[in-house]
Amino acid sequence: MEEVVLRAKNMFKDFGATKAVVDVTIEVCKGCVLGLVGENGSGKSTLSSMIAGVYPPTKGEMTYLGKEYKPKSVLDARKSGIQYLTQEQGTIDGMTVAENIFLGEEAQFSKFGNVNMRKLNQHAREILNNNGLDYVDPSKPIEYYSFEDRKMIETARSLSQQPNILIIDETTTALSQKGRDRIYEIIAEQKEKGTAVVIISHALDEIEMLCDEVMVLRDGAYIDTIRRDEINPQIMRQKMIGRELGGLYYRGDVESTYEEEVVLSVENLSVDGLFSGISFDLHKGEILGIGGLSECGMHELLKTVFGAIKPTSGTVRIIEGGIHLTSTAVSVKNKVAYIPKDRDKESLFQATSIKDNIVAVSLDNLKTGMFILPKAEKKMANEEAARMEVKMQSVEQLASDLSGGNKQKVVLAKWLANNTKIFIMDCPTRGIDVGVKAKIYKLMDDLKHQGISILMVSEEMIELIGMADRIITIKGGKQTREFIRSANLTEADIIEAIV
Amino acid sequence: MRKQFRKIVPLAGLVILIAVFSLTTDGKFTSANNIRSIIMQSAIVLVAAVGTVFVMAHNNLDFSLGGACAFSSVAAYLISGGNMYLFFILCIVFGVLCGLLTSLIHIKGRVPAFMSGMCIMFAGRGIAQTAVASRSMLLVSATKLNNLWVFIAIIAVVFTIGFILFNYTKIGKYQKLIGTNPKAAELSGISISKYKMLAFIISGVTVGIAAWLTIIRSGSVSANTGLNLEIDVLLALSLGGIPMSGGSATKMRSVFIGTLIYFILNNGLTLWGLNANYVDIVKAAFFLFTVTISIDRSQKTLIE
Amino acid sequence: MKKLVSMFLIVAMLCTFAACGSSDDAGGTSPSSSNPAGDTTTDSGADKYKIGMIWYGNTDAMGGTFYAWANRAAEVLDVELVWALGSYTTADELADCENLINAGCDAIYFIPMDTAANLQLGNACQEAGVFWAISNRDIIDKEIYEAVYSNPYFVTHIYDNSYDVCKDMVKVLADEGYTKVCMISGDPTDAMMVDRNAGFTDGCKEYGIEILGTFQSSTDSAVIVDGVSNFLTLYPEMEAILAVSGTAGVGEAIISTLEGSGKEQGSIKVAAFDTFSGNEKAFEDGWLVTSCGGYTSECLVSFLSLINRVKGNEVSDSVTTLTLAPLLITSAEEMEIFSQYVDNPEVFLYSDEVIKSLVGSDVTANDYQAILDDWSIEFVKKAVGIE
Repeated sequence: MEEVVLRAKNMFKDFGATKAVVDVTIEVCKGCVLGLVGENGSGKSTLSSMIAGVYPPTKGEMTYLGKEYKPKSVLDARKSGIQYLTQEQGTIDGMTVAENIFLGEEAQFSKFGNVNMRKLNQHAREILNNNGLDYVDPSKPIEYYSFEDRKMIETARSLSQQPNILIIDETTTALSQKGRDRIYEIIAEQKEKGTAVVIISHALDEIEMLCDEVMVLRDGAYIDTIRRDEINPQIMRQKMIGRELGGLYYRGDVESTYEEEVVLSVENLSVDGLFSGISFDLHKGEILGIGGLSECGMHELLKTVFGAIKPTSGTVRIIEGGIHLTSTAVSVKNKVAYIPKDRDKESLFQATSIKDNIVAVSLDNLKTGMFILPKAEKKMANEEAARMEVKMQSVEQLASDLSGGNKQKVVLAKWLANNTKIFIMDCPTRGIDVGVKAKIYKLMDDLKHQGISILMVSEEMIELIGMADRIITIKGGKQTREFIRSANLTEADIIEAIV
Repeated sequence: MRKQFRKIVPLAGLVILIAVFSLTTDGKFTSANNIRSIIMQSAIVLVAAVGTVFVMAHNNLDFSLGGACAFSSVAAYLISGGNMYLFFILCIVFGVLCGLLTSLIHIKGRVPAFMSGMCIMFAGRGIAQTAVASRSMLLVSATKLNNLWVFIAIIAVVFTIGFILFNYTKIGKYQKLIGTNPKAAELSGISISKYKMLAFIISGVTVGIAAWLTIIRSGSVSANTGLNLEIDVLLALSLGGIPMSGGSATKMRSVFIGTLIYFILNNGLTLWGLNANYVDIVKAAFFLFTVTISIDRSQKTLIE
Repeated sequence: MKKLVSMFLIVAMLCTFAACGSSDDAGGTSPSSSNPAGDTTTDSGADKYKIGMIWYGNTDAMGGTFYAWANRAAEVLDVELVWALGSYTTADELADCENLINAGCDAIYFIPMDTAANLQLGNACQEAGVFWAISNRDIIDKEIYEAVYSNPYFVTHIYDNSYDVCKDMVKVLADEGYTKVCMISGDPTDAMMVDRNAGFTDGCKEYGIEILGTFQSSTDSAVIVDGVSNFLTLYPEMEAILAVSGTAGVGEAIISTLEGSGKEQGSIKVAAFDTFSGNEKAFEDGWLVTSCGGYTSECLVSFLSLINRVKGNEVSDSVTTLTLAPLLITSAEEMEIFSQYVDNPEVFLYSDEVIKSLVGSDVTANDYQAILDDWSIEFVKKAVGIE
């Protein structure tokens, strides 16, 4: 029924002492879309890299179109008909669009060593048009175009070579909704043509939508294959981490619940060039979500609310005491917290102990007389780290040694230590494994029930729908709509308001 | 393991120096008089270094020290007219003034701190030179304080207060956080300008005290008072293993270890009677060696 | 582990290096643990007297010359020298002094960079019971003078008598018939300059020369250039310029300003204290008519008298105070002799015999003064064996 195009049997890959892939067998069929999912370090990228020719397996055999398959390089694999799209930049600066499209194949356009640019551009033009990229000029230098356009051009290049297998490795993460939609289209088209598609992604909803089959990997080993109708994010997650998620992932309730009392009021807030006229009230015990495209201004909005960016006009006020948040110091003093999107650069002190990170904003509370005693610091750090279940050797360890998820736990611990009443979070679960994500969601739920308020920006619609009491959407720096939490709220509803 | 090694190098260097000189000078190095000399010679740099640590911790260099020292001595001299207590207080006052100016130019004028420091250095030295050229500035009464116990007392008090402030109060702790990651510090509610200014003020206090000690040793204010103080302090701290870009690994003990290495080396080489032409080479070799090993290259990669 | 071992190796290397290096030097200490190749003069530390030399540096003309002379004299007189170079402030000189005393020196010789240095180093020496001597600076502060002169360990004080030389320089101009001059004066708080200022002004008064204008000298050549240009503009009748100092670029600045002024070569005369580069050419071109310099003899005599005292010969029961008049140079030929033989580290103007003759129980203060009085171009010529 389904013709097997490639079979990789008993694949192993070691990097020094690290066993990235342990005895995995995978089959890719004509016209099928196969999803590969797993946490960071599960081996999914390594596996597909071996198929794409990036490096050879330590052990294992591959058969492609009935013959033994041992690609020497990515170019080799490409020539055989296996195209590989990744998250990073795949086109080369310093060359035109057309040159990039025909990279390595200029020979077909040259006579006696001179490349016929007109012909090159002509053919490139054709390829671009076939892939919905009419607006791209093949003779322009590639740097002229945005990251997304370049990714599309790269995709067009891959498709023009009529691949048998198309591997898409986390490509959609860096794209806008428009870009993602285009990729989905392409996948559907290729499936029709009979191309085998392998897609690797963290966005489980995407996987659910696109795939015929999903293979789950964990710690380099094969766990299970989920078929057609059984595919849903919950099952995938369960298999990815290997244990029951204790029932819920996001919040269990489907109603918007928060108290009447307003704790923070933003009025007509504007920063020239970024956003304008934003107003909203944050209530006690409320999780208020803010959604929008990456450049809509919402990230800067949060920084402005916290006091890190000076607004051109408008006010941010804490109702209790009527205090205006004019600087980060004022905010912190008033028990407001800010969790930046860029964890490593903006919220963590890398070459510093976990302890120093955790106590950083709470020093005033730790004082004995005029001084801060090491014993008090250690006590607080240990307590908070335990509360957040940070996986570490001791609080004296350097923060940089921790994994992404644990780093975020430390950041949260820091603010919890200060008895924060209002949290301002920017993409709090970005780049974090499913297990830790679940913990953070639970924490947010607990905080909400304690009467603590959360203002949250997220680029994951699902997260907003799953966690927020209300969602405000921002488009082009302006507020567009407000959605109330409900079981019927869908991504499509929100997306409409932000693009 | 590497990190541990890097931390001990300065201390090991000091211990080795002390051992080498003790064993090779027939007891001259360890004589009471010699130890007394070393303490008194190193006091000025030691005191100034305590304040400088605060500035270096938040990733700045204070180049104003020499000029500030000269200016403070001159201004204090002219106003106090020889009263040693008043002179002491005024030295500190003017030292703080220089520190404030340096930090204000840096923060408000958005000039890199090392440049604003140099402005103060040139201005201070220039003013001092002009003032000294117009009248003699002898302060013989100051020399009466040139004794071991005054110096030990000052060193002890300054170092203790510096140590406590640096390790047990916000003032010190925030310097380290700002040095490690200024963006994260700001987003943690730390007012960067305020704390940078505090660091420069503390540096100003210690340079004022250092100026006072210089006059006690010299008996007069001259155009060369405080010459090269900022370089000496920087060298001493480097020898003590202080990280160049500050941050959490900054330690107050670098002050003691580094300054002692510097002056013990100087003292020991003289006791040996090393051929004068080789002295600078030996010093340079020792400096390079210690500093190269102590530089923490790993810190560079962490904050990409 | 590797680093630890290599560190030990290097330190060990430094030790042996230092040990070898210092035993070459006429004044080195041999660390008791390593005494190379049978030094049969035995306890080389114990019997030889040690003199601590605090000196500004041995890379320039005067510095290098005295360094060479002193080392030679030490060999001849069988004493050990310990040098501490590079100090320019009292605090640094004091540190050197303390270290030298701790190193076991029996006497300290130095040039006080600042008047207070006399007091501070003098006290340190007195406390340690160590003799000391200075040269090249007068002490003008009364309080310090009294304190220091009552210090029983203060042996010798020699300073420049610039007063007479300055007057002589003015006389040279007067003899040529000049009557209108401008003056570049010295810092009135500097002991050296006070004498020179007085020498010039008194000399002018005595020989009937009018001083049209004055400005204070500076090590900043821009100040010199501006000042001289101003002189040329304001006083077209000026015939000569008196300068209290020519070092640190001052002399060069004066000459180059004159040369660039468009005036005829040699139409304005210069009488400058000290020597500077381009001296000879300036003489030949006719700009420079008289110059003076050469103080190293002061250093030597003070140093020798210190050795004398250390060896137990008391020349006087109070401080021996002497003065030296620097060499007066009045022609290009004399300038040539000066450049070649004075302040040249390879020329020893005082023979080993002379040096030996200045240390002994029968030596008197007059003997020292005689050496200083002898200091002249003729003496130099005789010493090197020219006509």
